[in-house]
Amino acid sequence: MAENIEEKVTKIVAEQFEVPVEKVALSSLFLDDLKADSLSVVELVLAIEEAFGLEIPDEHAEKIKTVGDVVNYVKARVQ
Amino acid sequence: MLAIDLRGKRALVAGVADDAGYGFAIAKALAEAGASICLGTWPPALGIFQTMLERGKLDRSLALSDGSKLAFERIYPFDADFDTAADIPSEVLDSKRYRELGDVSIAGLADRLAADFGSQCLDIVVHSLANAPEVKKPLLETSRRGYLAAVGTSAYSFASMLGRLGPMLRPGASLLAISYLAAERVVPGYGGGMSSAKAALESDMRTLAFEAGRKWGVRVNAISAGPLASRAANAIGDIQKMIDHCLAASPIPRAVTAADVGNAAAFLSSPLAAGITATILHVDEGYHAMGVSGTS
Repeated sequence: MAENIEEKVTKIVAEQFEVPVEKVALSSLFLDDLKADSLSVVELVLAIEEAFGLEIPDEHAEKIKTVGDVVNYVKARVQ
Repeated sequence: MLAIDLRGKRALVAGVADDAGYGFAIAKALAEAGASICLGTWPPALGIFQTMLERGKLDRSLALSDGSKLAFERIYPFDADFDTAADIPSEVLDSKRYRELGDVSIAGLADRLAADFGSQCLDIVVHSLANAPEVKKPLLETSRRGYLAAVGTSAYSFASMLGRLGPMLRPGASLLAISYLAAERVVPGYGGGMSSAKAALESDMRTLAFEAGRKWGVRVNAISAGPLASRAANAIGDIQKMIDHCLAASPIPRAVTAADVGNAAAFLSSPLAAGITATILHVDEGYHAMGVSGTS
């Protein structure tokens, strides 16, 4: 399951930010490394909510800055 | 009983993409008074706004006092940077947030409204949008390009909207622009030509009130609203500092709410304000009148 979450998140991030999957690492910062803008990050959060059936409150979403943050957040909430 | 009654009227509120700003509060107040509401939403934020609406994330904000839920008649993709389809650069048209939306220009919006509701279909138009790419820079450091972009998006767009939507207005229609004190006083931090844009907007409002008043018999006004921590305002920077300052200095030491501005907008848009045009109404707890801070 843990591995699947990572793969699934990576795929969603690549799709949302229109970057190749190979460029997406756990340490990738959305704004600096993946050149996303703030609207794309909101879209990503909405896509993650849908993919994992979660609701991510704004105060949590604000702290999510890297791919790893998403993976850890989803793991903590799903398991 | 004297009441604001907008039943049977249709409003277009341009510049709504979430439930936090003045545009949303104005749309809601107009709906409370019985108007049907169409929105114009900036294409990059449209998908997010629609998803949030679909998932019920805005339901609490959409609740009306009679127990019903505000339902927008239409939400049009709308980019006030472009007057006609020909003005939209191909790289914008091909980008992921625009490519399926068609003509998002001001003329395109007029065409969509006419197609949906007929050639004379509007009673209320609200311009609640602004953008300045260099808003964080002081005016001294603002580039010509940044300055002109701010004025184009935030001020000229009102004149362009009025020119294109004017023929679609019904008798007694009202137009309203949302401005800010930085048009007339110094507000450090409101940079990038945004202060210039608001000054242009307020001056244009008066000129347009004359021209559109004579041409179509409609009223044109502006609300100068106190600071609100909307998503857009957060982009400017220290909005909380501005709010705290106003709170300490104003005749009424209470933060302006979005609902205050919404209610004032509903009044100005209603027949009760039939004698009011070419006016700037300050909805700011009186802050604009102070010369020295009222801190006690």
